[in-house]
Amino acid sequence: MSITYEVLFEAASPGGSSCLTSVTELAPAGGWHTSVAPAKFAARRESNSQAGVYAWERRFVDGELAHAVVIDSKQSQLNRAEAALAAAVEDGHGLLSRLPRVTVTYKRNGHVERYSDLTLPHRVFDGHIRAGSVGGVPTTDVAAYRAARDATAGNARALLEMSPVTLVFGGWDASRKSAQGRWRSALVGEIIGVSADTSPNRPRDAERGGARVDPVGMQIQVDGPTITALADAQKSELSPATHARIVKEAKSKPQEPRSASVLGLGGVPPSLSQLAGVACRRIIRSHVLSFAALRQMRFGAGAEGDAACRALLAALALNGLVRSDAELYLRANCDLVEDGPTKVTVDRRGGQVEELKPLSIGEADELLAVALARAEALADVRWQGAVLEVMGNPAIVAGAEETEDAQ
Amino acid sequence: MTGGGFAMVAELPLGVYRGHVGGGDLDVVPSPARLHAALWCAAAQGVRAVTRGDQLTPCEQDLRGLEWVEANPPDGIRLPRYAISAEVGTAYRKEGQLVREQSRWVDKVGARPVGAAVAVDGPFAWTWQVQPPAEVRQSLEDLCRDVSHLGMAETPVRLRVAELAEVGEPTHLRDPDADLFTGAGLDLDVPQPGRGTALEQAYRATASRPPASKDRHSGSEETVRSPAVTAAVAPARYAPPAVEEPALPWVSVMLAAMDRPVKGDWRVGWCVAAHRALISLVGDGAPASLTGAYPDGTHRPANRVALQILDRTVGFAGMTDAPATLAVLVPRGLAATDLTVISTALGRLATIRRGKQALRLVGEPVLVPADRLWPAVPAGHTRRWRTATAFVPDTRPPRGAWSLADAAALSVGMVWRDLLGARGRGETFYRQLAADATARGVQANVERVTDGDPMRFVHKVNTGHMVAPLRATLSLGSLAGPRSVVALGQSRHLGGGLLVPVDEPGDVEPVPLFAAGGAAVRL
Repeated sequence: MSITYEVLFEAASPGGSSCLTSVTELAPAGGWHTSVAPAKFAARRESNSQAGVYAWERRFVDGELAHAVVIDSKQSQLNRAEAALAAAVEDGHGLLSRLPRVTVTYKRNGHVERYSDLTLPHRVFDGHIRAGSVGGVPTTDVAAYRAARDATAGNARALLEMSPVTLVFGGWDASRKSAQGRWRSALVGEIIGVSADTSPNRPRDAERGGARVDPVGMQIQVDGPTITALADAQKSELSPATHARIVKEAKSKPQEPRSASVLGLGGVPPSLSQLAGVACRRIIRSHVLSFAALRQMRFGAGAEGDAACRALLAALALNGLVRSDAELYLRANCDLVEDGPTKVTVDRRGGQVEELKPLSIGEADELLAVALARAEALADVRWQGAVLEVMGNPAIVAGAEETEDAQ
Repeated sequence: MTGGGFAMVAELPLGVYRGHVGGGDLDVVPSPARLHAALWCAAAQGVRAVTRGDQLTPCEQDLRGLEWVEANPPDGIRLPRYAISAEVGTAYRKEGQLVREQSRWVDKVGARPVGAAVAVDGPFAWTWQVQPPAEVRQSLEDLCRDVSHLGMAETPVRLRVAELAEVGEPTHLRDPDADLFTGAGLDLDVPQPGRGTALEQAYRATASRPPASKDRHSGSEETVRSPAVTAAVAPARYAPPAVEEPALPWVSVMLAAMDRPVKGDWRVGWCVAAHRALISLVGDGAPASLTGAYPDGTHRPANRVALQILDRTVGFAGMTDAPATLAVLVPRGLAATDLTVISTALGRLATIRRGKQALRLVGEPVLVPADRLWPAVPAGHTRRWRTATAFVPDTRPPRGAWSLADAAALSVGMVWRDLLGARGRGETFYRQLAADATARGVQANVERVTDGDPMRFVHKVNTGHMVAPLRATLSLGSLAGPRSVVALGQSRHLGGGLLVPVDEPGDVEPVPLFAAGGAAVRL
């Protein structure tokens, strides 16, 4: 059976399914003999590791306890779904361009930078939106934005028509003094790699070497005046703080030779300072779309209209999911391929499970189009693209430059 | 109302439970209070909620269902197989807050721990021995479908009502009389009458919309967290059903695989090192059952926690491919708090150091019953025991007639003295104890250890005491079953005197090789 609008509408209605699950077996693009680079995290403070760590966890796989590594976390998988939707909007996709959203525009060094609730970490509640202004009025004073912040489970219409991605991918108006918007992500998922090493101990993160060869010379030493001249010549490429630091250090014992590595000259000797990839015997991508989470939202449209709104959100979630699932380059040294068909299921009453045919991108677009048309008809939903265009606070990007310099 | 009990079953489609309690500690088992809160949320915000004023609130039917759960906490919990992963690192994420720090605007970055989770191989179930009223059950059935998550958003859930018979026996039963300061089990919060009201009141207390002037972005903004709602919730003890302890000196064995073999002669030394390491991990206040340091005047039990090293010459329950295994024997009657402390220390023990040498513990520790450590006796065989490592008799030989077999019987008696109800000191007591053991079928063939340094079989020696280690092959008569783990002698708690099974064919009766007159017997 296919994922039709009727399936979504029924799931979004009282008594509907709890959730839809989508599971795909993946494989390293280079073959099982190659390793993949999982998501990397900062080591715990008591560890002296500069290389970072992988997130190893114990997982039950086919009933056996195994060591598994998080290749892509829940946060990252949601970001990829959002990025896929954002890319479609950017490309002028006919349907997705109608997705309501909030944009933030900054002008920095003569360039225009544009962000939206699809790309900002905290979606419609992000500080870049709250700190900006609309037509000279602080965003937080704009009636439509306040209505979105005031949205509740009892009536989330304002959010549906300003930032539906916040309802799908989650959001928390964490700094608000009261009446905080708290929206769980209805879509959640991850990619894990089951370690090829089946010994009882957790696999150790192997390290790999890194080096840089400079064919001119592995060590390039220059005196103070020379390095000052080099820095001055590259001043436009360096941050002000870096240039100032080089010049200041050059003045101390100017005749003494010093390394020019600060300007990218000379080689870096090999050292084991980076994490190597992980060999896996299985790679599993799993997602869950919670209809129960969507059923905890109303939109002031009556029972049928509210169900149509929830089905619309479900269709949006599936559209983002299908688009992001199609892109399996996760990061350097982590190219994956599908190793089998995606298995999609929904739960039915009495513990029964029904299998559904997975969607293609085209089918997901058609489904979203139908869902939007039904929501328009049954709930008077209006999706007409960007709803709020915020001008970012210029002092904030100036602060961002200073922070990069300090780093 | 149908007969038999019912259950609420939570399946986790992603196979992982992530939740926190208290100050951010990992929640291992979702409590009945967490279940109730999830049901309350579904009732108050889901499709079944009704509008009162401008707020959503649970409908009357669901209120009655939730009140029933408050008045009737689950009688039991059925846990799936689970494995806990510890925190391994930190993820730095932007928090969506822009703040001013030293006249600069900064996109605030927060740190979140990564890796801490509970993997499960099946559903959690909360069980009740009796059915609720029909309309309560119906309301709970309908509400379950609207519960979206348990714990964090990474834990979507499929919750449903099921018959108790379908779910199976609970792994933990609620003990309404438990003293929460002693005993072992899970201490989980259960909702009390009024819990739902408390949750709703807490929600409404933070629901008022701030005026625009208080809603503006500020350079000093920070996350505002709602305080945890502690009203109408109380801890309850859920413990595994009581199992009668076998009448053995040690009742269970914790096993931890090691990465290198350990020669028999050096096992006492390595067990002493492991003992030291465990005490160090436990820290101040390590229990006497581990240290052996009992305060003056207190009863010193016959046996305390004993460390032994098993090799692969005789198979045992829980054996892996590891060349050696550290066995921590849990004595009968060990306090649950002591067991928790010691098992936690064992879980953290990674390396045992002895001088310049080191042994690593590999894999996860496991627990096996002490009366079934060794394999069953093969058909047609009889089982005796031999000392894998020599044992040193517990006392000096008493004056008068006293054989090595008597010394072995006494050592057996010393291990069983609490179970035999024997108390006393002095030579008369020791002779009586040896006789009691012999009367129960203890028989021994004993020889002195004459090779090498006898000190390798003891951990300490009283001044002037001569160390005379013995090796023995013995029967334990009616004192121990054929698969039980036992150790003898002064150093039985630190690697000495471990008895391992020796199986001899029982269907062959040896006859003298030479008959009377010197002629060889023909078979």
